[in-house]
Amino acid sequence: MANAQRVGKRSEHYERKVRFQAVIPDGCLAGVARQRPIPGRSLTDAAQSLDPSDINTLNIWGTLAYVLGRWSETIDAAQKAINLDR
Amino acid sequence: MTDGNYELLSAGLIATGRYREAERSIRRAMEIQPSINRHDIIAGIMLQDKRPQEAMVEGALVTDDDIRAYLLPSMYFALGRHEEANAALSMYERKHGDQNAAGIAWLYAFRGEKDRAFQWFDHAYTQHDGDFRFIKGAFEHLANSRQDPRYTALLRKLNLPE
Repeated sequence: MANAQRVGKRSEHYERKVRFQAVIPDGCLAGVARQRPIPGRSLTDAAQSLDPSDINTLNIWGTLAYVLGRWSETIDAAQKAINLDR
Repeated sequence: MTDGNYELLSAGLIATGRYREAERSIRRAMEIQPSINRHDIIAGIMLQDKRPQEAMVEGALVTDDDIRAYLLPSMYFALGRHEEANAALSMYERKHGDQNAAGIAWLYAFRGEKDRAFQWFDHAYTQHDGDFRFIKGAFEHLANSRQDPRYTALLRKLNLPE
């Protein structure tokens, strides 16, 4: 959260950035899931640890898929989450 | 989370070049939650879709000064207003360079200046910039960097798959 403190809340521009800012020490991004950071693990591991059929983790799972460059899975997860949210 | 899901859908669609669908997704999010302002994302989509005049109109609806300042260099550049683009980019760098290096790298990539883009990615890495999450979805797509050894090296540093 050091970055959050440094950036502050001066505008929406930075609030959006801070939302995903947590970074684990080896340089691999894990903060894509703000609600569920998985320190010390790679994104691939993190994606594999989530259940893509669970509505509560669909957005996180889709976001991880996006970061990993898995576009069709990103789109599928987002569409499924939207449909389930209706 | 509704707007987040539409934004995620839009991000996936942008990465696959489906700009019109991506735009519809963001507009839908704003319909559902009128309090959110995502005109900057729509303007960015329009820029990538080579619709700079429309992007300029959309960009005028952005209310956050910093977000608007981020959009201006690319909008001017896409319109061929290069002097204004350079001035806007210099100003953004001075004000936000220590906090949004990855974003600035993206601005250079949009202009086709890959060397400068990679210099800013180096800064972004030292800043632990969370916006590296966009690198495969936005930068790779925008700058056609898959064959660039600097890009491959950066992905390795970030522990992202090549």
